[in-house]
Amino acid sequence: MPAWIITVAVVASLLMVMPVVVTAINLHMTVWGLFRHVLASPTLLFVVFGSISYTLVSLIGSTMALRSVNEVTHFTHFTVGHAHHGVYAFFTMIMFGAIYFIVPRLVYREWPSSALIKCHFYMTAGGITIMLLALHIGGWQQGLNLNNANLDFIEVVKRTIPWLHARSVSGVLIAIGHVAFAINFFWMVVARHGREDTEGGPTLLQSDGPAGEGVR
Amino acid sequence: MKSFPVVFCGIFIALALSWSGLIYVSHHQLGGLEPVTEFLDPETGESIKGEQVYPRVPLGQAEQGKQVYISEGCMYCHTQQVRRKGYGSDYERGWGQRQSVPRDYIRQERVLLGTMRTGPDLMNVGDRPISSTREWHHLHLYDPRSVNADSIMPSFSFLYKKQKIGRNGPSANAVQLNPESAPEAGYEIVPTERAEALVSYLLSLSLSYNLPEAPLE
Repeated sequence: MPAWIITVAVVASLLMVMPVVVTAINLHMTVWGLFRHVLASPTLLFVVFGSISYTLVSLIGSTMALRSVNEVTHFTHFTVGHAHHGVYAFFTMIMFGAIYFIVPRLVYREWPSSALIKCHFYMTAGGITIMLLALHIGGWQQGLNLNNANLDFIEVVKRTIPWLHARSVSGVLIAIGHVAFAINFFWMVVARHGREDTEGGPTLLQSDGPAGEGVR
Repeated sequence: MKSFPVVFCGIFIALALSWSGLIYVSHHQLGGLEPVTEFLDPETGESIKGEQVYPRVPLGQAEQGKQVYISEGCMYCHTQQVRRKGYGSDYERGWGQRQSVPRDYIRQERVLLGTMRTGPDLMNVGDRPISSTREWHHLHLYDPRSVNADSIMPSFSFLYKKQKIGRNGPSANAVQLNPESAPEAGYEIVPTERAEALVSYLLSLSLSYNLPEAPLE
């Protein structure tokens, strides 16, 4: 690849910071001061987690375009962590939030179990957070070690292993969350469980102020 | 939608610009690269005409070995691209005496650059002193842990077969295993054709030739 393409790409990646910051201000200022409502609504929990991830993954991504940063992160688990940050912590979490909003309105039924929703959220959010910390910290360290010619390659490999164990743990947590979601979903859609709600209001995890107003 | 033409034109121009930038211009710049015999004399800076045409391509068994490399997914953990001296530690680690350049790949139908270095880079693996023999590669593929106790590479022992030692003694190509991984007495481990092909391919990987734009350092 001609070197000038890389240079242009670095500039373009940094320009991406601007729309990201604009979007981030919009997203985060919308929920600022409304955290009580966020905690009460499954949809908002997932969507707010996803939008925070969007801001982080975009800013980290722009930074990774810089040559001096890329010298460390390229060829390492950092890149893998970055990919999961975008696809899971941002996109998948937003999609889960959307599903919690859409499906009750399609089937005119509430989600049967708020415990399962909480399990789903805290397992996936905790799991992906552990995975991202492990891959980002472990990957950064791996990159520094790789670039340190005095360190044997096998030593570099050995030092990544604890981080990869943490990643395995995070995968198990995420899987538990998915099972909780699947049970809740099929319970509602196939077994037709859950309170019927012909008005199509939102499922809430706790009472949300007088008459449940606020988050609709 | 009143502004449809404006939006359409905007999207079209954005896509057309990036297409011309990424594909057309780089093809225009690099698409004409040809194999060469010339190389740059590091002292005088003159271009010298040699005999051998570079880059070379894996032929025969080595070419079949490339298919094994692809089907076993070696690319997920091994790259084939060398960073320039001073950027990363590829040069110091002996992964290549120069950086890899576009011309190194022009004769390959499928380029296996890779993105992840769970294992070391393999662009120059056939020329590194430790891994320059068939015996080393067979031993390493059959039982990576016997070469390096901390290796996390999976064993490719399924590319080998166990057989009874014949009347004329062990086969010439039997893998020389350590006592821990050796089969019971009277048996031997021999490479299948796929293992032989893979090793030929690995040994064909070499970056130890000069190019006019990338002399060895």
